Amino acid sequence: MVLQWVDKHRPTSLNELNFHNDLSQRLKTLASDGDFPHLLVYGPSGSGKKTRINCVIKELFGEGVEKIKVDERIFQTSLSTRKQEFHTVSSIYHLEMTPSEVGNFDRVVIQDLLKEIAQTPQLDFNAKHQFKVVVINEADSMSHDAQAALRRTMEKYMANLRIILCCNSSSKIISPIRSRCLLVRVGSPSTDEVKKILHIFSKKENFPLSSIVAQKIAEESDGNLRKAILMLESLKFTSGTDFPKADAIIKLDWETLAFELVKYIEHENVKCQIILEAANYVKIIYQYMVLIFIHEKHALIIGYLFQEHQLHLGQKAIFYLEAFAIKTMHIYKW
Amino acid sequence: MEDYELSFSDNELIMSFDHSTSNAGEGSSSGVTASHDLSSSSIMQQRKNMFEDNDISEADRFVIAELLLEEEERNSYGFETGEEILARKRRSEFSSSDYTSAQTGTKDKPPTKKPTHDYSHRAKRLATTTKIISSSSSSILRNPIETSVSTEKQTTFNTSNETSNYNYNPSTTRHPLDSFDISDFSSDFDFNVPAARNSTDSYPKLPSVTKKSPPLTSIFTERPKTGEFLKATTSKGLFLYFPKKSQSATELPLRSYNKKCLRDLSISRLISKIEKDKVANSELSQANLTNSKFPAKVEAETKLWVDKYRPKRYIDLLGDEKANREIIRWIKQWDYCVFGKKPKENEVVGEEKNQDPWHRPEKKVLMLTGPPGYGKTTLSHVIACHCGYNAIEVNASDDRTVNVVNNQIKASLENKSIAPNHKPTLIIIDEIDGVSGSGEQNFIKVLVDLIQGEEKAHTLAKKKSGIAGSAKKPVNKSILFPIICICNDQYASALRPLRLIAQIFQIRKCPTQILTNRLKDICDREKLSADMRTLSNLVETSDGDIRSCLNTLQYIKQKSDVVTIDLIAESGVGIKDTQRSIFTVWEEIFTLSTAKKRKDGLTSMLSETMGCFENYLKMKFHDTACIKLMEASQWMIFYDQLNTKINTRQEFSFLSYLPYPLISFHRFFAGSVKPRLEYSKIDYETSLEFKRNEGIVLSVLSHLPANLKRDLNKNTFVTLVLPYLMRIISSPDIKTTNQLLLKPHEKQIIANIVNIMVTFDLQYVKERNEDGQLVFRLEPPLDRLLQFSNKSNKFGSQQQSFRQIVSHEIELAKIRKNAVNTTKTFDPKLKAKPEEYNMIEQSSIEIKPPVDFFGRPITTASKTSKEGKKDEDDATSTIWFRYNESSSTAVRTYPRVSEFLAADLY
Repeated sequence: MVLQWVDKHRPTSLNELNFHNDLSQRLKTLASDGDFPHLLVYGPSGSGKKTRINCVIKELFGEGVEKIKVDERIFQTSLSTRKQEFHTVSSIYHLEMTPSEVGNFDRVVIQDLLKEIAQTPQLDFNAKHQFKVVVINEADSMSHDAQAALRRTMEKYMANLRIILCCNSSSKIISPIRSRCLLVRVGSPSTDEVKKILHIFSKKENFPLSSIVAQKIAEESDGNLRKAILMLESLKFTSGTDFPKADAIIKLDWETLAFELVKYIEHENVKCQIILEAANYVKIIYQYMVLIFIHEKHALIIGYLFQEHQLHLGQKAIFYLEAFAIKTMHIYKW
Repeated sequence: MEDYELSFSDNELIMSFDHSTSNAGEGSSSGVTASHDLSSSSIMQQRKNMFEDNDISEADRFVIAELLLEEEERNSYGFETGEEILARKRRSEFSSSDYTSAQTGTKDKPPTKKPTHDYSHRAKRLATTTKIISSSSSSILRNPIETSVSTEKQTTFNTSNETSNYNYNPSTTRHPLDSFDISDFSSDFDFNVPAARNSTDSYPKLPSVTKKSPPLTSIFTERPKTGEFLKATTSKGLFLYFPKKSQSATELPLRSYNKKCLRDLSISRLISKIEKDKVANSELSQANLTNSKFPAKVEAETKLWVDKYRPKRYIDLLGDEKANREIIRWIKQWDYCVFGKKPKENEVVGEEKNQDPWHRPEKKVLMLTGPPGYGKTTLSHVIACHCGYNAIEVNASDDRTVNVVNNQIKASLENKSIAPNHKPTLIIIDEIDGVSGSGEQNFIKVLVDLIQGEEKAHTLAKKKSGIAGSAKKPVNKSILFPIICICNDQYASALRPLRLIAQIFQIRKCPTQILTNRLKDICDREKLSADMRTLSNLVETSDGDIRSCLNTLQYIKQKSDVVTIDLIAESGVGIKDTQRSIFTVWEEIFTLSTAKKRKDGLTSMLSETMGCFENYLKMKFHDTACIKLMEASQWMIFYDQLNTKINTRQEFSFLSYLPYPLISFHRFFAGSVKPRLEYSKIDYETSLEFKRNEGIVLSVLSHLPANLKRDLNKNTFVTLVLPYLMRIISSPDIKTTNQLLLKPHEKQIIANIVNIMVTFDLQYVKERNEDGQLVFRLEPPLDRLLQFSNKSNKFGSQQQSFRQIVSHEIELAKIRKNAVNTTKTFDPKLKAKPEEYNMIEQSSIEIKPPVDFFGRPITTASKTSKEGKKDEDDATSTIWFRYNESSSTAVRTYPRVSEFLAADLY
């Protein structure tokens, strides 16, 4: 099945994981030990956090966790009459949710759903552990209120509940929660590790992969394993029966666009271009693409970081992007 | 006395002191309107002027008296009245030459504003018709020697009077006069003198009035050449001037006789002496007056220029002549109803079009709209007068409730029928947009009901009486006179019901040139030197507000005799709350205007800022190193962060800082060229698009199977998976139109694509595009998410035939999937069906044999059947044949007969 190599060849046990082996080992001892703490797993995307979490859960409860189903819950706050749909993925032992899906309602979700789970003990008496596990994805985009709502629950229902928070950056998790968790950082795989994994994939899918292509993909992927696998997969697919070539690697559309814009900013002095850029930016942002990769000048990186920071204080991303574009042009002109 | 009574009995005279009295709460009778409709602000302005100006002379207008009266009531009475008496002394001293200066020592001082106090008190005294006080006051006037004695007395009396609430009603004007000893007044007003004939007092008489009195109008219509006078206006717009006796004429002889030898002289000699003295004195006073330029001043300051130069006749009107005519035409349409005049057309054409029994206009209410100061009220009054109506004004100062509609409007309905000789009424409802109240008791609702209810009743009556013509009038009260409503904002929500039934006229700004000329004219008359440029500047700053122009000029006149731009700027004209459109604001920001900047009106709407943001790059400005741009962008960021704080933390104290970025935009980018601005829509459009795209993504995500769902969140799906996904499902360059010609690896590709599409619940939906061609569109339209520019769709160029194949395969795959899910519950009876299907399939193939590109039949029928069998095996027997238009394996063509003939040649 194409496009699902990521899923298909996903390691399901800690033993199968191919990199960060010492981390895997530690997690294994942690899971086999009776006392399992709350976890806060953080690291860049595509570094295998989720995979690791799933492996840990499997380690904890055995095969049962692989029978999963999707539930749809409807929440209604007392304040507004609007109903919010909320999807959870759950097995009998654990439950995964993404509270940030519902925006500002996440507090309600945490309060209601999590408490409900926490207050009921494990139903399966044959289970290895008498607690359930709740995985909270994108914990860093949870609102302050929701995180605060989590604090007490984490302490009070320790007997019934373990929480695994999964996020990109631990800095957005409030410190009370950080102090209640065991922090696990999952770093990006190195280029070599990515290459190794790509070769494993090619072996599993039965096609030859030259080390040049693997190298290229690994570089392009920026340490994002998911991206690397998707690239390999699409490359394999588009090249058909042919031998996959390095120049056939598909770049992401928005990345291409961003590079185009960067070129504009670098070389165009016509200011009307900014309008065009502005219009494009808006689209990019609204299609969730915020990053521009400029690695050239120190001043630019500072400018970028500054605008990025400012953006988090404000709302209208377009202002910040345009400000950044202008700043870049300014730097290039001097 | 008879003359006098007659002139007042029908209330036709609109005396200027009506105003001061009607405010006291007694309400004026219906025939009289207050002659001043000064807005309170202009009164205040005038009042300010009064106090600032020391040159103010004896003002005989009660407007001013009224103002000061108000002021006085707040002050201590004793002091004021003392002042007043002092002032009176001064005045008598001034006018009498032989009066000794020892008494007051203020001989050479010209009268200051104090005399106006005098009048105010006199007005009050008029009201409190106590004979004693009046006589005592008059005795003071007559007898200066007694002054010192009676001062105290006067003071006490006055205080007691002022505290008493005087209720002076114009309709009872003559009663106080009757009860007065006429000598009380004689010192002030000539019009009292006719009554003096009846009195036994040996008071000196003026020759002009003591003669057999001619008709009132002929006496008073001419403005007296000299001296002071009291001005009044009849409802016809006729001015009446009541000359005031000059003090010198009345008091001087009196005093001298009092002093010396009153008893010794015979009455005839006394009279002759008086006559002689009078002549001498008048000469003297005239000389005095001409020297001291008094008359001009007196005139200038007595009246607000706005009132003074208010157009009195139709010809005087400025502005849009066409609109004026339109309004007149509308009012003239009432002529038949009101005056009984037949319209000319009717005489010619006969009675046909106008259904109304009174030939009234279709819309029975006229609505004048326009910004303040454009002359709406004046226009309506002038036109009403011009058309021979008696205008009754209901403005914001009146209580406008349902009662008003009931009493005033309905009452005037009835009045008409009772007193046919009177001028018909026309109701002007001024400032109607300020009407408050809602629900059932809404003024406008009642008004509308009154107008419409009448119509309903009318149509009802018509239905009942068949073709009830004009002869039979409905019994119901009907609006038989025109109503004019005046408002500033015709779109005010309160006016909505009225707008539907009203004839709306927009009063436009008077052309600057014309208005400037008129102002110049006025300035010339007022001896205020002003050049045209300054005046047109004034007109522009005030935005055509004539009232504010005149007030400004009058205000300037108080200070100097020359109008300069600086003075205008100083007076703060044009700073009034007006609502400007957002475009005007943007334009102001981006235009370097020569006129005065008006930044105070900037509200902190986000749309304004967004407008600036989207438009600033279109401006022409010099900025090589992007420094201006950088600063501007910093301001934008500042703005956004403030806004974020306000929104998220409710810190509304920051609101006041929001306009500052706009000012900086003006600083950086304002140019002299008027910019072409566009309404900011990018923000809105992108947010719309964002919502739509998000919806698409969510709909895809919600259908994902659980194992994928746990792995993909919104962000990773869009940024990582989607581009590859789209690439894969659209990339293969399979050119074949026929499924049967696919190579094995191509089949593998298609199978993969179908697999993915089924997993993500995507499909191709048939649609006809604008050209009428069948197009397979991806549903949900994920390809949209990857379209960043308006370039042609990257993924749309894919072969439609390929999509057709894929969509067909998807159908199959779905069915298979469902079949797998439901296999266990299958009825064995249905096992026979596959053969049936097979037969249908084969027969269909036989009927329409597949043809290749050259139209030759294809010999792979067996393969198809095999495939069909394979499909069928997979599907584990269920009826799944479905005919889809143009998705069968056959190629459908529309052959012509000629083509068949050509085929024979093969």
